[in-house]
Amino acid sequence: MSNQQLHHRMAKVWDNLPGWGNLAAVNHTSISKRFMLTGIAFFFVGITLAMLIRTQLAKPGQSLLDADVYAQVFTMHGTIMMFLFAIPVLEGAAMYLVPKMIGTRDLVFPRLSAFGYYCYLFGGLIVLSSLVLGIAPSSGWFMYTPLSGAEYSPGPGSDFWLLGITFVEISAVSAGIELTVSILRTRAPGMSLAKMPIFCWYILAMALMIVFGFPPLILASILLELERAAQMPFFDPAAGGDPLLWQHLFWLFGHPEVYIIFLPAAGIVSTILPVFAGRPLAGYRWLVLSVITTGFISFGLWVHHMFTVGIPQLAQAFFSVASMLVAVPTAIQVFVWMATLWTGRVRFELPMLWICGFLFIFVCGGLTGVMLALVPFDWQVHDTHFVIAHFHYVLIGGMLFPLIGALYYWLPLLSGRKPSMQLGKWAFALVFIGFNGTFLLMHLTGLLGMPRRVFTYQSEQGWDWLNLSSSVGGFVLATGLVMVALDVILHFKFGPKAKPNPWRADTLEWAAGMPPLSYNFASIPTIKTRHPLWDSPGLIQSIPAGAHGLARIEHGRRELYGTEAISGKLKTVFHIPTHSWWPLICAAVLAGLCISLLTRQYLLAVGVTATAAALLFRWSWENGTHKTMAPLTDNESDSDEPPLHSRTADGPGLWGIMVMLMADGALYLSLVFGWLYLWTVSPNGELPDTSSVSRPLMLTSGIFLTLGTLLYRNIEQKLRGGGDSGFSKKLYTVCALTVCHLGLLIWAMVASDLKLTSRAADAVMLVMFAFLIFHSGMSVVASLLQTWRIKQGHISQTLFYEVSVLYPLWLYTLGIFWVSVCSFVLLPAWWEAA
Amino acid sequence: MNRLTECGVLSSALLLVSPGYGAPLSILDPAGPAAKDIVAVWWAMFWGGTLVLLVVTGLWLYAIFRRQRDYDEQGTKRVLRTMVYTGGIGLPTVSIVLLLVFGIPSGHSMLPWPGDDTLRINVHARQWAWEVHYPDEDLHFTDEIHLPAGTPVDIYVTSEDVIHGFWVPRLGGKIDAIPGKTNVIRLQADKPGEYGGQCAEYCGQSHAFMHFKVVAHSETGFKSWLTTQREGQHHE
Amino acid sequence: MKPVNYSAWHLVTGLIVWAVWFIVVYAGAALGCQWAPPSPAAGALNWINLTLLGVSAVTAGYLGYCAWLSWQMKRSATGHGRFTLSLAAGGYLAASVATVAIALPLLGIPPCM
Repeated sequence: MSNQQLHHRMAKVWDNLPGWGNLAAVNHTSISKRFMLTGIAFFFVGITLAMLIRTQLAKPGQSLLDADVYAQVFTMHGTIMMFLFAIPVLEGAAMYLVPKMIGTRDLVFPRLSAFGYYCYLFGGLIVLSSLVLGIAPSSGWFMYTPLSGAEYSPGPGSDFWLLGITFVEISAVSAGIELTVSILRTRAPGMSLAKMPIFCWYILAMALMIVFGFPPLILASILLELERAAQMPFFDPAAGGDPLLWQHLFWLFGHPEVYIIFLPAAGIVSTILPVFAGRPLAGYRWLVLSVITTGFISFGLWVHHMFTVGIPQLAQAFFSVASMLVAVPTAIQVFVWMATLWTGRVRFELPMLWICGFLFIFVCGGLTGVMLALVPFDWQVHDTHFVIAHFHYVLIGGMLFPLIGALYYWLPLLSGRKPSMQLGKWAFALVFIGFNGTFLLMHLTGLLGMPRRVFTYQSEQGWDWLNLSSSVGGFVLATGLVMVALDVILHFKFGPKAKPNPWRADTLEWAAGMPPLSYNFASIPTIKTRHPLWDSPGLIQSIPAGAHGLARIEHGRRELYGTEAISGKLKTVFHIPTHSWWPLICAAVLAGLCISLLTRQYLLAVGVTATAAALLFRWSWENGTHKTMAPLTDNESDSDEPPLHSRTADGPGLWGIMVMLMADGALYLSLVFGWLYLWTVSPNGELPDTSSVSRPLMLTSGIFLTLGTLLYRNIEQKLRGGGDSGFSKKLYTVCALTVCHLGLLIWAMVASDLKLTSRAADAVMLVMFAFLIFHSGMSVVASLLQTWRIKQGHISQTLFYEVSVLYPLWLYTLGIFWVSVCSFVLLPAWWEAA
Repeated sequence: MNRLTECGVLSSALLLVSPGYGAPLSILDPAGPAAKDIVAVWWAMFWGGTLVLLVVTGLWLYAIFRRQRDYDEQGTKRVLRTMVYTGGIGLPTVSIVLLLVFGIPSGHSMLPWPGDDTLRINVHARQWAWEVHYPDEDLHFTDEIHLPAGTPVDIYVTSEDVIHGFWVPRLGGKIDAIPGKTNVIRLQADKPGEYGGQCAEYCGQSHAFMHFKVVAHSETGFKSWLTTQREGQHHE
Repeated sequence: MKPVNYSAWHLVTGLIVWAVWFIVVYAGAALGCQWAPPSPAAGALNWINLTLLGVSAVTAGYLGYCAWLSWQMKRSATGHGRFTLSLAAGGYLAASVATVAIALPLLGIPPCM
């Protein structure tokens, strides 16, 4: 087969459908570009809101915006920038680059990418629509209760935030899961962890942080929405709740979030800087160590947002020290970069300009961050403009500057042209000067006592000239950003044509074609070093020539190499789905759910939920040997490639479900935390009275579940061990046992006398019940579907991969059941007896 | 690229000559021991931070623009180790130790230690006013706190509705007013005078106007003020 | 049995131990104050601080030992082993140092005020 034919056939398998069919695209390059473009559109909305804020504050006593509109504007500015710009754009960048850098053709769950994108798009539009309608959320982007609660925010604004943002978060969590599994399992053969591009370490850390960091916020949003809609008093001190529980859950997400944004940006710096220094990173292992350490420590800082809420000084001191400690891995990164520049020969091109801007601004923001970690100083400047200045230094310096640098650096991949300094340097100058003009003196504004979120001020406060200069700076900054956009757009027309690998980079994405092919690489090379394109520049020709592995396409499947997580040894071939309408359909139905909840049409919501569930299960049906995926063929064993993953006991689905269960576990632990917190730490908490929950019912229910899970385990192990002819019947028994468990569990819930609207603990108890019922129900339905798949021939004694995939879910369901029984039912009784 | 450094120098200079430190809510114009401690820590951090910023940026630019030469593997390792050990680990460690050595005791001294002889005032925040109550005298005021200068006063802060932030910048740090919870903050004004207070936590529509004032009297002045008020409020 | 081997899990084990320690200390101080709060006037030497200091010393010691062990093993390792063990050593050391640093306030601050 000629090379041209090979590419032709590859394109036929991998290209999106034409025209409207593009909406069914699942390819990572297409989806990630949509993420980034949508994010940039939201970014400009966020900038517009910022300009409204700066205009209002330019002079004392202005009346451009009234207090209410101003509140909507600052709330939406923060919300858009965080949830609809920063995170999705970085995810988009990661989704675009990671598969190309690790030498594979797509992410492992392409339909999930598309689903995530549509959830983001629809959720974002729903949130944005509230602003257009003039009913946007108005309690600040961190939505502190009771202000955001039903009594003080009676309109639908808070609901838009809680429901819309939770909807958007589906995309973050799904990107987190999929990036984790992709990085761990689909690196080109030979690319061990030690040879992985440094960017992927950063993204792996970010992805895992999303997996653990977002669930607390999702739980908090669910609780607050339940409080608003169903009067369940989780945060109401009069009923034993506590508004501080919201703050804990929010910042448990909110602080890691800062590093979720910073790490990919630092990863960009670590990727670009060595290229322009013309040498490998001087301290690859130092950086990896810093990234891992940052990932962990950043989960131990959240209380530093809460130093003024009256937490005991000892606890504040723990968090204060931890907040300062996190400066060490960050400083290590800065000095590794510096050592790289020091020992290299630096070419100073446009992306480097942005990296230098990043360094100055980020170091400045880092320093004020260390200052803020000092408790007494924080008591003074907390909630003032000093803090606003600080976090804009960290976020704009630490995220936007590297991101723009990255945009220029990877632009040739999109346009085939090289960016130039001509307009670019002036745009940089405007942004840099505008930024510092806005925010440098804003530190002083804060020190002179200007609090956050005031819509106006009086002249005698002495803040006039500072605000005016910040406003002028703000407009310079915005002009600069528009100029960057203009430069990029003009570049597509006038930029000089780029040679292959225009910056002389070391990473594989430059071998994917300019613009990259829909399948990235016609053949997958074996990787021997950390710098493939420096050490074997011939790859740029040999990869598209089909000289390496996985170059066959006659089967018509989209295939990736599946390699071992640590060593990168070649193990299997992952077959992944082709374009599909299910992501769009399911996301649209979920958007319908979101809207029906917003408009409080609860009956409708129940119907939509059922539809969504049915559709999601229908989507899951197209897996394994289904005709749209990888139907069985006669000559499978003839192939010289490793076996297809669905014919083995290990594949992306198994890893995906495990990472998903980590996120689920984080949500569950947040719930247990809430339960224990309300009971022990909260000032109005008391020992929960759980005597009305029938223990015999719960225990019997648990025994049924345990038996069911043990039987499932037995099935799975026998299948792995070589086959079990009666496993289909056993699977029915598993389902029957679990249905009994479910029945008893629901009975126990209904029979217990929970005072849902007057006791916070009881309300938490109900959420726990619902959580258990959801998981047990999920396990049963999924296993019932498996019995059906057995009949269809998708599962058999030799095709038992799907049985293995579900096994972790069963174990998890069993685990949370017994942990719940212990912590929710037995522990209070035991405590009382003691 | 010297623009970066220039910008840093220029702004520090601006901060120094800035005339506005005397604003009514200025942290930089402290009038009590807690606020004074904090502002001392701030200036130390400011100069330290500026120094670090300039040195790091300077080194960075030097690394880029100096005359470059080739390094072998050993040489690279030496540069890397020096930089990581001094800049990456040493610099933040020393800064953190210094900060904590000065910072923790200063925070310690601001706490409302039990057993000290202090005046108690209750502040009950609501949308959008501060209800002030003197429990010993059973006196009530709105948006106005009177206290004797030179003595520590413990203010018990809670809220009726949403979360507010109680803050008198010239006297000391802030504390949140949270429904269902009472927080205590110790403040002291060194001299008689009037000090501005402001809600710091966003609390709805009129947050921007949720001011109050603290009036510090001399010791005798405070006693006579108390007497007058007692007569006024209890005989109405 | 040696607590350290060539497995890549050791890249994160140290910091996972640190995270668990952090939860124990933070929750322990909160629960201790709920259960039997010592008077702030009695200073930092009370049952809560002393218990938590004990836990911290053991944790930090264990993590330090693991760091040392990883480093020793790294010297004789080759290939992947060198990479993971040197990172494991760094992770354990970072976790140990973080434990010591964050535990220091226990020496001087009473827990319940």
